[in-house]
Amino acid sequence: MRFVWGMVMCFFLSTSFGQDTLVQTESIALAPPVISTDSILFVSSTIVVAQHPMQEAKVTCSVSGLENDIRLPADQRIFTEKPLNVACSASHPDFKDSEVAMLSVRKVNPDISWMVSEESTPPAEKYAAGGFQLLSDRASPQLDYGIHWLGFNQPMVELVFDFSAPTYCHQVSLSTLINHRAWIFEPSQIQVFEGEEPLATLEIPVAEASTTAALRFYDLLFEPRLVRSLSIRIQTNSSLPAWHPGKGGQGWFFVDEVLFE
Amino acid sequence: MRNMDRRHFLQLSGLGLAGLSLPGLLALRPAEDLVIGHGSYRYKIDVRWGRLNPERHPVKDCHEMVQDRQGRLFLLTNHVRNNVLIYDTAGKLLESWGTTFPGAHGLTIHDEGGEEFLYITDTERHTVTKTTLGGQVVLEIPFPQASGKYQRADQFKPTETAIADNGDIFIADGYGEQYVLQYSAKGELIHLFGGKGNAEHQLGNAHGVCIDRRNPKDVHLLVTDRMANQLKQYNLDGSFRGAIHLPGAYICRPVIKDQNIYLATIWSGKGDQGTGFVSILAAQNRLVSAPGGGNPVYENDALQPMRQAMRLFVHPHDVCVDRDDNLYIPQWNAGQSYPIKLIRV
Repeated sequence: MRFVWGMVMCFFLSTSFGQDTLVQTESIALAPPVISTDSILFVSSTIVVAQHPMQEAKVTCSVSGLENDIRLPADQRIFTEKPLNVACSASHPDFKDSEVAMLSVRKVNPDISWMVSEESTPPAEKYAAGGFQLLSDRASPQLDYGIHWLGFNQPMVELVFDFSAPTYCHQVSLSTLINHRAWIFEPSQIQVFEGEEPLATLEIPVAEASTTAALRFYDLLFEPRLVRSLSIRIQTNSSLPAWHPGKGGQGWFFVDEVLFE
Repeated sequence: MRNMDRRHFLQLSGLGLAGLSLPGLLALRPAEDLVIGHGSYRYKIDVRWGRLNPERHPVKDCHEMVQDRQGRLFLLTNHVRNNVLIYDTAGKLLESWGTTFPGAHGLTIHDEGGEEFLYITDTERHTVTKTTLGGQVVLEIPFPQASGKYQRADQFKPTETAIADNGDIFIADGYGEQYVLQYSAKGELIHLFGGKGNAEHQLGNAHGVCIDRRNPKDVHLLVTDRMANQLKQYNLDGSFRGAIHLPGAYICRPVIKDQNIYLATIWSGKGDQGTGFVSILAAQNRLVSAPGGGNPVYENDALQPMRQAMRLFVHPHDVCVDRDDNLYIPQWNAGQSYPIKLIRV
């Protein structure tokens, strides 16, 4: 509820009025564009499209791959065979620019197989879904946290992966859910270990308030190496920010897919 | 109309210092009244309409509004300090009453032999109450135990009513068992239809009901199926006849004025919070304007999925159309704000 009130207050505080109290141009923000894809997780290729429901709005996107950054063509449609992060906003002379909408797509390597070790932290019973096999089912993630997610609400989560054969690996990606209204937050830190040797660390800044649910990939890169087992240690958000109704409390961490490259 | 606000004054007064060229000067555009909507249904926006001192006249959710023959506007809120606020069209408060409707949700006005009455549904009291315009209770309909479909009062969460020419009362149980129940004017249950389910004649969040009298030879019911993004059409005997598809639009009750249907759309797209807009359907039940929403687009005679286009509305819950075709939009869960007025241009 507080989030909605926040939206309302932001609107009223940011709206300029004429003498007769009518809303003026450039005082209301556009809604963010809609970025869609036929498959967030793909084996060979996928198509990403960005559109805005107001036909007169201009959509501007930037695309960063894990290799070279590229620009989205004028029709805001891109065919890709590589992982991409797409960020788009909308503009119109009569409105404030929209918030940025983001979508990531990731390539799945079908040749790598693994099991989650029993040493791993078990998910909360309420959000255990189909168990750890969920992390490799390659089903595209959904925004509904009740569907197909593993949920954890302890400060530290460790997931241990045993590969079926020695495997060259240089990247780990986690597909996660952000939904601040449901107390589901970005983690604070993610680390990849082989045994006790740290291979990659990702520090994640404290989240800004967001009213909408979003999917978020975290990518950790390291020097290629032959591995039999890797562990991912996740420090969840154990002190929710001051702007949240649950400030200071333990947040949830939701993950639905782990990808190795 | 043009207004010079501080920002634009500073922009213009700084021109000499900045040494802007003529094209630069022309690029500066003073703020104007924003106009939203599509086609011939376009509106200016007054977000200060009807604002009151919340200490004296608070609102919680603003659920529905109707206009009486005198032109007064009745706003229904679930705040029990004053369930009904009565305004003039300029937004001045004329009167208020009501302290006994904690779940006040649906508000219908009906002229019965020269006297107008209000029908209030309450999702927490599990009742439908008919009152005079001054708030005197005339009739109360409890949960329909006699139907055999309800065992407890809390299964009945009525969200809307529609009144037939003979006085029969159609009640949409939109937060309960999803039936549309027909009562006589005296409050006797006649029959019920719809019910929870995915079959075409069944309903999912039957949030609204109205009687479509646009063709006097073919009077029938329109019932909201919010979860299906549809307005379902039934004959007055409850037989199903078809549906109007509004993909992406999670609609509230249908409101008919002249040949148009007006609908508050509380959520859009995938149903995210804060994504509402207003839908206006013309005579052929085609979406012709969506104030706050994207452009209506039809492909192969099918409306393409609709979404919010701007951050104006949060959760629109009803549309009241006044005699001048201005719209009043009360909102659910919108920071206890008062309705927004859209002025037809």
